[in-house]
Amino acid sequence: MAQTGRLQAVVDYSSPGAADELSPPLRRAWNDTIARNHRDALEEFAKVPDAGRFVSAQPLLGMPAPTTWTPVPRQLVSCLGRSRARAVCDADELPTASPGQVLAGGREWQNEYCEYRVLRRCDASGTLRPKRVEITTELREYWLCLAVEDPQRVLSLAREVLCDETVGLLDLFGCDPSELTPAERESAFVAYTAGSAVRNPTLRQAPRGRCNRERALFMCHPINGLDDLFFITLFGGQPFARQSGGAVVPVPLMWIFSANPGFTDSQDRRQLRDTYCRHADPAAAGVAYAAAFAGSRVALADPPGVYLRREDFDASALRYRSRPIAERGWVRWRRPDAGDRHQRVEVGPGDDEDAFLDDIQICRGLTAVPLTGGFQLLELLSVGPQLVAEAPRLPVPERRLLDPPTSDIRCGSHDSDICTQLRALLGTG
Amino acid sequence: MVMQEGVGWHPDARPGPFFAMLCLRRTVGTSTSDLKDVMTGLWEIVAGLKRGQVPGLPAEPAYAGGLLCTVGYGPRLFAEPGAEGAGAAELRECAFDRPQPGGGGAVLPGAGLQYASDATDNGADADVAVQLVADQQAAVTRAVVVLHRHLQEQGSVRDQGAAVNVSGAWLGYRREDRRSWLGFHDGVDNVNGPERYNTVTVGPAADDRWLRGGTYLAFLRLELDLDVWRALMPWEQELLVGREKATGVPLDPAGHETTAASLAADTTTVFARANLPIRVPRPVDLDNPSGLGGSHVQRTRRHPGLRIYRQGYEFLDIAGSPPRLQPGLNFVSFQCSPNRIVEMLRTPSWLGAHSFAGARPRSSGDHLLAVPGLLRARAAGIFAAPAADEGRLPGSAMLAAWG
Repeated sequence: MAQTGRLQAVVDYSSPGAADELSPPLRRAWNDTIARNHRDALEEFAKVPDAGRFVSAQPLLGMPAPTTWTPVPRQLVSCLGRSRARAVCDADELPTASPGQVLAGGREWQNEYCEYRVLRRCDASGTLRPKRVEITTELREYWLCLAVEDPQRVLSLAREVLCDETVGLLDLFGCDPSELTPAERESAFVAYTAGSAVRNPTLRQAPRGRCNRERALFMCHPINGLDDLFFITLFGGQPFARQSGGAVVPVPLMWIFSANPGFTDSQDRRQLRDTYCRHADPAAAGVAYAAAFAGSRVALADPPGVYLRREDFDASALRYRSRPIAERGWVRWRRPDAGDRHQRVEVGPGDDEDAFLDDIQICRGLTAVPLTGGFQLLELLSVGPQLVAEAPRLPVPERRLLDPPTSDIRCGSHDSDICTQLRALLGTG
Repeated sequence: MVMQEGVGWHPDARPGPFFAMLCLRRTVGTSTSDLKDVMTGLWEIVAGLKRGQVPGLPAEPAYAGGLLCTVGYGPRLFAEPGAEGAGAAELRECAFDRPQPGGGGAVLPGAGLQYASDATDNGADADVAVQLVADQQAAVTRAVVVLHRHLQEQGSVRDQGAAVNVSGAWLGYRREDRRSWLGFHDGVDNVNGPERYNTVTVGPAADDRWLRGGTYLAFLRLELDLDVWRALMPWEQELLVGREKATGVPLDPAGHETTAASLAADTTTVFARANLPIRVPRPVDLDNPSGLGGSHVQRTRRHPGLRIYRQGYEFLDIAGSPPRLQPGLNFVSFQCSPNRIVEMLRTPSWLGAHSFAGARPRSSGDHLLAVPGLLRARAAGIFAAPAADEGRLPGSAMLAAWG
């Protein structure tokens, strides 16, 4: 992995996390994928002058700007409360009126750029219990790119990541992809493993295959896509300002969501209000906004990706028989395996061990509680992309003055669209 | 629902500069119902004090002093058998640890922040916290004495001894120059805009119905070892804080060194409105060779979505012969979830590895700075502060339903 504290000069992107060596054609395809996602996101800013001026699709020479957030699904917690949100997130299956369009169980609500699956096994008495949790922040777009360009590579990678040699091309594509055109391979991989993207023109598809239904191979929630990451960076990366006491000063971050002149119709405004009440979007928008206000551009750092950092994980809270579970090798950082920035972490005993996940205790404070699923782990960690901000180019960028919004956003309020949808879907009052 | 008074839940809500924290513990055999009675009586006395009515004296409204009172309920209250129905699951999980029997020990398992070596009882490990703030010092100290007497008198009325004891009482004040004992500006980049409401307020769907619209109050009585601080060079202090000492301007990395932006013309500190554009530090990675990523301002801003609203008050204790000065900070914060403050104190990239600041070297030219002995906790508590209840004791419905 590149040294992160120093200025970097790179001409294109390597694989996410630099976890995989890419041949020149694969690397080109991956960089084309990144550029396309940036372009797609930019199309949403048709009404914004100079959109994209402060967000580059290519790597920049600059200083890494840490961008992190807790992956606990904030909307779910705000709308349902912590205990119900936890039950929803940890569920293997949930009732749904549209199977085939939603992800399995609680995965559908893991929409903060971090998805997980609880793996369960029977104990000696035959009781099904949580064994371990696999958490991933790997970008769907990277895997889709590999699947289109090199199906055999994606097969070997899936086997390696899932530690399962029984995974076959049928699991990933639903058929033998060798006879398919690239477009057909993409469709097959979307249907079986990746699921469709946010900007999918047809009916939404959730993956049918086992690798992303029974396991967490990579992120497949459409909200957790690269295009949305670019969208929110572009959204925040605008030089908004306000007048205060004769000075031109930054606006509160909330204003960008509630008084953004590029999104004026009422539907947009309602959606943006819900977007503000997430963890990921304000965090990414805030970094991009601070850079734009100072007149500097941001870009994804190389290697690009959404990361789990060891120092952002409160692993010492996890104890088994009063000892940290890391001592037993029950926290496995992967993708890449080395370094301190990863895209996958697996927590819990291996299949060859007698212990179960709920034998582990979370000791954050005076009272220990058993670890029963992934939600509790999300509370102990942070995720986020690595952005690079270049040195300010303009001493005073042409700032756009915003008028104060007519009202503040109060997250979790009962009239928010997302809470209404959530309660309707889950049949709760 | 309306937030209790004494909580700066909105930029216009600015409680006065004088502070007291009273922590109360039930004695053995005191039921929740007993506690409700005691607290209801205490609340009525506070209502009188706010009108300038001291028990036994004629009312003097002119000397009420702008007294505000905030009541919070601690994990100890919910820890007894049978308390499950009251909920507070997250509060109980996030309760601060107790000091070691001989003193010292981490405030949370594995956290960098330690108790003072002679702290053997955490006075903020309590059933109830009563925060008093006022515009006048006398209003706060008078309230402490009056409430203390009320609690003692409860014992004699019951003929069974006091139902509730004071486990800790601490005073503090806010400095008008907005500097801390470290000499640096404090609270420069607190959550000051409209975001504060969402930072502070427990949401309308929270598990504990009785807490909706309220907040979680964290209190840490932090003692400072100024000898440790003064032993550092000025540039080392600035690197640890992440700001210029004189002006409060945040530092920026410049290779292995640091730099700072210039203040606007005719201004002397970063608090001037014209300096708003440079008040917020630019995010710096932990790995940065300047060491700035490990500074206090960078560590505490590491995860902007999980910020807390700080409302701290300095203190100076003088004890012993010859007199020993003990400066420190009554750290008070409000947050919508106790997880925010607990993970801030536990997670390595926040303050888990270093209780104030610290960076590890990545190469021989990098700076290694840490001040492990700078802060020590005398007391640490987290409390659920329900919304106001139209003049009644906040949380009284919860106590009644449970009792």
